[in-house]
Amino acid sequence: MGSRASLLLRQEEIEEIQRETGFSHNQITRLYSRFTSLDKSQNGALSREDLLRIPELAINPLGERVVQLFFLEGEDEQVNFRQYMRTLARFRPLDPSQKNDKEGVNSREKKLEFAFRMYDLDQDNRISRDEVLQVLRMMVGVNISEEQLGSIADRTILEADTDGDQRISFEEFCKAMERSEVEQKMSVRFLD
Amino acid sequence: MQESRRRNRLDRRRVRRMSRVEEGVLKKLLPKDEGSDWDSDDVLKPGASSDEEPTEEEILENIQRQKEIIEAIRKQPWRMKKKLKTLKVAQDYLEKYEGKLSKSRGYQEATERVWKKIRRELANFASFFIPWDTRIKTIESYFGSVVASYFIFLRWLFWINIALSILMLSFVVLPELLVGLEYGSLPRKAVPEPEIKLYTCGYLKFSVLFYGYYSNQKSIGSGYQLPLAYFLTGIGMFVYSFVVILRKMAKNSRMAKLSTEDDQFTFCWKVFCGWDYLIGQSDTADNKFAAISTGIREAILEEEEKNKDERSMKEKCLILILRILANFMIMILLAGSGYAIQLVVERSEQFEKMDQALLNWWEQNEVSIVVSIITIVFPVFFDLIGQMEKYHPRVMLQWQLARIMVLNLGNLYTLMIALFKKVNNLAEEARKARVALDTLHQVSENASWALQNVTASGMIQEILQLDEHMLESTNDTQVVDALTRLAGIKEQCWETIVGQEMYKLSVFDMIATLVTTIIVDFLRGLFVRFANYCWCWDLEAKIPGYGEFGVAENVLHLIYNQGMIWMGAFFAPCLPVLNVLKLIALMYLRSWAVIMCNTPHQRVFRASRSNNFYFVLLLIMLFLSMLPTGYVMVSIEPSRNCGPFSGRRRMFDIIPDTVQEQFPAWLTTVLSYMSTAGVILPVFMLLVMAIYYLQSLVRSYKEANNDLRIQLQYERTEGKKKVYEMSAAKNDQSDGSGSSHVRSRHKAQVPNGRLPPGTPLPRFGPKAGSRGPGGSVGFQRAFSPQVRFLPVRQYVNPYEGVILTPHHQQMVQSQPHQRFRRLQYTPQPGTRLVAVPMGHTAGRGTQPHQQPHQQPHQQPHPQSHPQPPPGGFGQQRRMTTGRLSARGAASILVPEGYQLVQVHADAGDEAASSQETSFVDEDFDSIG
Repeated sequence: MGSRASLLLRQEEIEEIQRETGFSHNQITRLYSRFTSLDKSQNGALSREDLLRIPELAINPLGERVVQLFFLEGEDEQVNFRQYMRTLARFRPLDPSQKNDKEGVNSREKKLEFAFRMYDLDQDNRISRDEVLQVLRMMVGVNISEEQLGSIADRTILEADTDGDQRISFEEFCKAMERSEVEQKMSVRFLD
Repeated sequence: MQESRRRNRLDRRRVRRMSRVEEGVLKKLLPKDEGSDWDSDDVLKPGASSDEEPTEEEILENIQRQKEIIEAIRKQPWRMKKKLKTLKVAQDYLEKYEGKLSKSRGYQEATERVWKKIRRELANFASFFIPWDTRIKTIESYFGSVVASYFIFLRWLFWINIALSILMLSFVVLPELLVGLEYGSLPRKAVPEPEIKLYTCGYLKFSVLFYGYYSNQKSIGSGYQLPLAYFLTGIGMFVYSFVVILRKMAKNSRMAKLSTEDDQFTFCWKVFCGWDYLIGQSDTADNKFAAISTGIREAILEEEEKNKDERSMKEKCLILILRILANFMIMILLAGSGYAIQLVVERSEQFEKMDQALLNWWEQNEVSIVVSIITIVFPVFFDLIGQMEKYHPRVMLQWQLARIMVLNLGNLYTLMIALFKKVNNLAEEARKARVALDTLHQVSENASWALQNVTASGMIQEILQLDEHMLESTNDTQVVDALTRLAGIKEQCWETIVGQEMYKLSVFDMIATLVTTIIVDFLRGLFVRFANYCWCWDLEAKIPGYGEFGVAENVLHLIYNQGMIWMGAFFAPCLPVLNVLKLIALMYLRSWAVIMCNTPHQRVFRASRSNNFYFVLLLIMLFLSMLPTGYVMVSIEPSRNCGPFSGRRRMFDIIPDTVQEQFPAWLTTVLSYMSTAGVILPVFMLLVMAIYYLQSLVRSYKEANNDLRIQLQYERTEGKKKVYEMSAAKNDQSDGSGSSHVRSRHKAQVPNGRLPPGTPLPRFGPKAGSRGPGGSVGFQRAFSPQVRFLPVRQYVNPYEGVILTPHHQQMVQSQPHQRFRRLQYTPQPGTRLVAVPMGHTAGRGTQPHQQPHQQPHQQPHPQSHPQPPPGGFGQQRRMTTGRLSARGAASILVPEGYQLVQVHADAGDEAASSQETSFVDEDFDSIG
């Protein structure tokens, strides 16, 4: 499978992806074989259903939101390999050496941005109370009463909101996440 | 999750602290003063000063140094340009020279890297062997951290008991088994006739399990001094336990030291970075899912409890009365339990006097059964009573723990007292017997002496005959009695009896736990689950419902159990081994019961990981269980016919004896000096002084710690404030001054995630019932009037006012409508003078938008200064009184409508200080 995949993937393409995403050569071929195995329709692109077959996403309560973000890159309803890689690159673990690298595709900022867009359902660059509530519902299911969820959403907004518009902007989001370990949690180990 | 986050935070702090250290390093590395224009090339100089090609050593050193610089440069308070420059130089150097190093160095580094990797893998591997880890994690995610804390405590005790077992086995049990005298070689090592029919019980009683089996031979095998080892191991067990507990507590409090009580952004973190994207297994995902819900519920509860602080007076009174009542009831219960145990113990003493064979099973085991029942049933009552006190669940848990602890201690102590009574009785009998024996000896000696007089060639047999004859002839009942008792005492080894009692308690305790778990948890669960189909009310939701896991009683059960082990281990060396087995069984039993039959608590609350409460209780238990053993060692005579200390007056005598016999004589002298009051008293005083000193040191550290924490907090909030200031400035630009009221309301909030005290929070729980589920009611942002935050505006000097100087007189004259007063003023040292508008109190409580400088356009003449000054007459300023006082009184013009106010010189703040210097230069002399 791996050899076939590397055959299909041209060398210059690999190099380009390598430059763009920082994955190693091996990782790219491996991920390409994964990509092709997910691609049930064999048309070189993945649909939503294909993506949701990834076990990590399938068990993630927010999996659908993550999948949604795969499609933000292009307007299409399909994800090609480049887009797929670009999104996955966000989850590449952060090397200790590049901790202060703000520009890298897997930098803390980018990870935060990804997370922010995940919660910003209507893409207006603000997380509103309703959006928090929806995320909460996805995360805790029916274990907590609706009313308490509402209070939590209120508290969440109140904690992070600094300009008093009852919504969380990206800056406020970053501020709130400043000392959290989000960059560690938003990393997936890719095999070499 | 909480844990790791806390650790993460700690790490960050440590890094911050480190950075200060590194700063020092950097300063050392960088030869020039930071203030001067710093030439980054200097960094390279010291190593390469010898002009020639640097040696490998030097390169290595330099590379190391450059790396340190790169590491530390980030934290330097320098301009970016400078940082970049330095960084570039360092990196260039690295690039240039790193390749030049020999291959061996490269290999060395590679090995280091591999070694690091191996170590990490090993650590991963080791974590695989932490027993019951996944089990505990699962329980934690479903039942909350409090229930998990029980299991973690259980696991910790398990390790302790393993250590104790190893100690006992290796120093006491195995030597005796391997090289000691064989079974049956001594009377104490054989099962006596009457007990042989008891089979196991009888055999066990005369085996290595108990004190009585060990022989008092001075040394066994090739010189192993068993009695000494027995004694020292007994002491060592306590010492080890003390050290371990104290170390654990110290570690815990070290954890607590740096963690602040209230987390910032609790909910944000819980909501936005709850999920761990590394999870790839559905089981783990389920756990995580449950853990997130549990975590959120814990957080909700914390909030709810915080909100409870605002209770009315009436409610407070009611709660006070309820609490007093509850304590009263608990006292009664405790007294009752004490009485019951006392009663049972007395009865058992009566049973002791009767023939053992006549007693039935109940009568034999009455004490253990009653004690077990009390320890199981009473906590339920305590729990019920504790509910009416309405404490925070964590506080409630602590009360509950303390109460059950008292109960258990009472039980244990009543038991101990009863046992000691028994022991004393036995000792008394032994003493009487010995007296009788002595008389017998005397009598026989006298007789033989008399005989010797009669016939010099008297044979022993004759003597004995005479002896017997004498006994018969004198018909001394006392002697006969003594002989029979002597025969009787042989079997009575009170140390073994104590050990047996402990075994019995421990085993019964286990059985009781098993039975109650099955009945209270399992059968009840089954009943509720299946009878619910054909019942007239909802069994699951109402009474009886599923069981809940009682953390308090279970933790105390462990502590109590451990206390028994500590007490009994001296008399039954294998008791820790039994306890290890028991703990393993408990772990499986309880975890099974929790997952299978229990439901999570209605109110899940967060256990504090740094909580030392369990360990404090354990320490108390250890101390108390050490007392009886210590008492036995130093002030009770050991049995004469069994155990390693038989034949000695006290067990403790083994130490002085050993010292005397086996150590040089001078040591004995030294020791005997050291044990005199002349030495002990000063040492004692010294210790007390040391304790006092350390205590005060601790207090000062605590204070310093607190200050640092406050400072840290302050710095963090300050940083946030600045960000906020910026956004406020942006707002000011975007919307007009008309909405200043609205703005100031928002501004009052300090945006650091920590809410100011007194902020009405969204309410959780039933009290929030007035709000619809949709949450349509917006969040109230009103703040209570007592709490006033410093809005950004008040960074400006609140005392600002106008003072006229001669330089402004022209300006004054150009304003004919303005009138002035001329005042003579002799400045006081340490104060400064400001003019404020009349009726304007120079306090911090002023509303920001009322301050004059916010309405600059009402004042006509701002032109002479870039920033429109308040009042428009001149700079806002203060007079440096030090300068004024040197020149005596000054005359000052004060505009009408303004008054002079004298304020303390240190009352200002940064905003005004920058202008101070320019003002000082102005000359006052020309006035007046």
